[in-house]
Amino acid sequence: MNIVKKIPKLEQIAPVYAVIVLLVYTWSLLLFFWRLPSLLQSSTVGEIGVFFSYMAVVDLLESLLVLMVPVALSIILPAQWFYDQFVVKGSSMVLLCLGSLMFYYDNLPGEILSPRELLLKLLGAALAFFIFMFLIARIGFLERFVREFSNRAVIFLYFWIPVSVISLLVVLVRNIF
Amino acid sequence: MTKISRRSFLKLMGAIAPAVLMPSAFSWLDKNLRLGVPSKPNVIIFVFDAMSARNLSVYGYPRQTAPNLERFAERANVYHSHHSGGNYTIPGTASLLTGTYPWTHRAINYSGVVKRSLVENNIFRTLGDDYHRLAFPQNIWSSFIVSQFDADIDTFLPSDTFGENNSLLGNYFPRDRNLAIRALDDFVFKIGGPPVALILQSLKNASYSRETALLDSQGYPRGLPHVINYPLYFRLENLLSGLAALLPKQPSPFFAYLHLFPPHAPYRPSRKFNKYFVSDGFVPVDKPAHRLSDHLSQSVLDVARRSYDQYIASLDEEFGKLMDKMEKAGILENSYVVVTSDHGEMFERGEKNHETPLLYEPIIHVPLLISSPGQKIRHDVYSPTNAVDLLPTFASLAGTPIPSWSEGKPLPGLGGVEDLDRATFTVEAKLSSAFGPLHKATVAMRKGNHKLIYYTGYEAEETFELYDMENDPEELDDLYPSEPSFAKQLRKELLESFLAADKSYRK
Repeated sequence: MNIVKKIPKLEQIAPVYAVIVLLVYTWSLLLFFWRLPSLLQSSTVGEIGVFFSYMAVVDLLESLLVLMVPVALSIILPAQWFYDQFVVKGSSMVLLCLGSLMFYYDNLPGEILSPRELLLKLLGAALAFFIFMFLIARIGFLERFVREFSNRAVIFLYFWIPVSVISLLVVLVRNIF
Repeated sequence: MTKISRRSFLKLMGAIAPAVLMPSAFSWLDKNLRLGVPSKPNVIIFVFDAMSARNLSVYGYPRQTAPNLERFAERANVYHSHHSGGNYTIPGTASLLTGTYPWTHRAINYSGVVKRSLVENNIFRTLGDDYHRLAFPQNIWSSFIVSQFDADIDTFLPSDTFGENNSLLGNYFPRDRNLAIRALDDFVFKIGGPPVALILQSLKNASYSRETALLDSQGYPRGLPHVINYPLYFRLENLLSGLAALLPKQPSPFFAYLHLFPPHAPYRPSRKFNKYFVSDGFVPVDKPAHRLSDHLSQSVLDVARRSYDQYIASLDEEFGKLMDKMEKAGILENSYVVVTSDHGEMFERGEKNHETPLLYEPIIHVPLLISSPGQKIRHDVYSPTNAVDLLPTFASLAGTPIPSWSEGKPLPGLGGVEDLDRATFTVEAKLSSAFGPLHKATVAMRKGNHKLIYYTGYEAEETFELYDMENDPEELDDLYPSEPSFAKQLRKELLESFLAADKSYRK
């Protein structure tokens, strides 16, 4: 199988990207709402909108960056290892990686990870991913759950992608004119 | 259509070129050569963040924290009763730069900014484009305010200029600096909180962690000084020598607003001052913990105070070198040099630092020393002055009209007169909305030798304290209950001013 054929198709990428978007944007939104009362005390609605736009643009970049990882693995690894089950494996992977970071930061919000600590955390997430893959191969329910969950998450793309594009335009316009 | 010949075209261009270029050429000549008119003196304002006058030897503090400021004072006007407009960076800086009190400019909250309709009322615009206007807000919070005036600033030096690392993202958005800094550096990528950008912030944190581990902290036993809550490290000697190299290169006349982060916490003196004032026998005046304080123990406060004093001494040494270089470069001969602060720092009554509703002197009494061009003798001014007075003072000295919107007056000795009947104010209202009435606030009013403090919203009832600053400079004896008629008179004046400023927000 050549490399081009191992690039996942749009209908495979969309559910994985939807899971990323769901996690990345929900986390940001939570923190945004946490900050909102203080913003409301000192900022106009327009400024809060711009504030949100910067955040959404960063989220857009981040979600695309995260998506690169399963896509790259799909291209690099043998097809039966990743490409053949791109939706399930890709979704599981981002769920575990982003989920573990969320868990970590929720419990230790002020902690600054050194490169070594960050690598260890990611290795931990990778280990969890392999265990999860092992379980998925044996428990059909888990595979169905991940697949259905990621397929249903696609609905969020219809909201967040337009919002991100508008946010990107807002940031561009403010920095060009 | 009539064709234009090559010859006609060249003639036309020959006529257009001077027409286009001449106005700008005259403007350039006017600005840079002044066509024989002597240049105005430069104005250089040094704001040392969180520097309390109460901890400076130049103001009588028993510890020798500032011998170089004392030296500078010998050629300057020394204002002995100068107060900040607010009790932390945002309101203090905004008052200084807009000549208005916090109840007017409304930059009262953490991460707050000046009321949008008042942004044009700033010192940069007031002095006008006769001056080359330079701003260096090293404290990120001061950059929230200064970047609002971007349109009136010719050179904006980002907070990490002269720093040991460069990791502020807002600097990459010069056209939208104010919101970019607030959104990216103060929220999405803020150090020391849950990161908004999970992956990107983790990567940035990792790079920050590696970068700071590699920073050479030699000469600073407690680590390099840094801007609290932000990834910005610096060395005092590089910061001050960087400014010494920068100032002579500015086109004359220039106005420089240099808001330096030290001696703000964390207090990190250089090795030479690391052990200063240890066992020096100095015992601060014992004051009971205030009911609104954090009730910290006196020993904790004394240790923090000593670190603060060491850091001031460390900064003062570098300031002395800077002054020597400026003198050598001839800048002092043609400049007004101002040394002041946006607010003070407190180590008493159970309270540390400045994020408090308390407005006692250590927090609001800030230094103000102004050396005029060529000044050789010291002049002491004892009447109360306020940060809002700087804008009208320099407007007047620059020959521009004093703006009617400013709540300040020209400083005595620099065009103004001593006025003991004048009331000046310091306002703390960080928990009130910038868009509504100040329901939770503390206001300190200084009038003559007396100071009245008004607390509203912090407790069930409004409370007042009154002190005689001449006979009780440590504010130990509250006269409010014992002098009811005088207290009533001052209270009326304070409340009238407060309610008048707040009127448009009260329905």
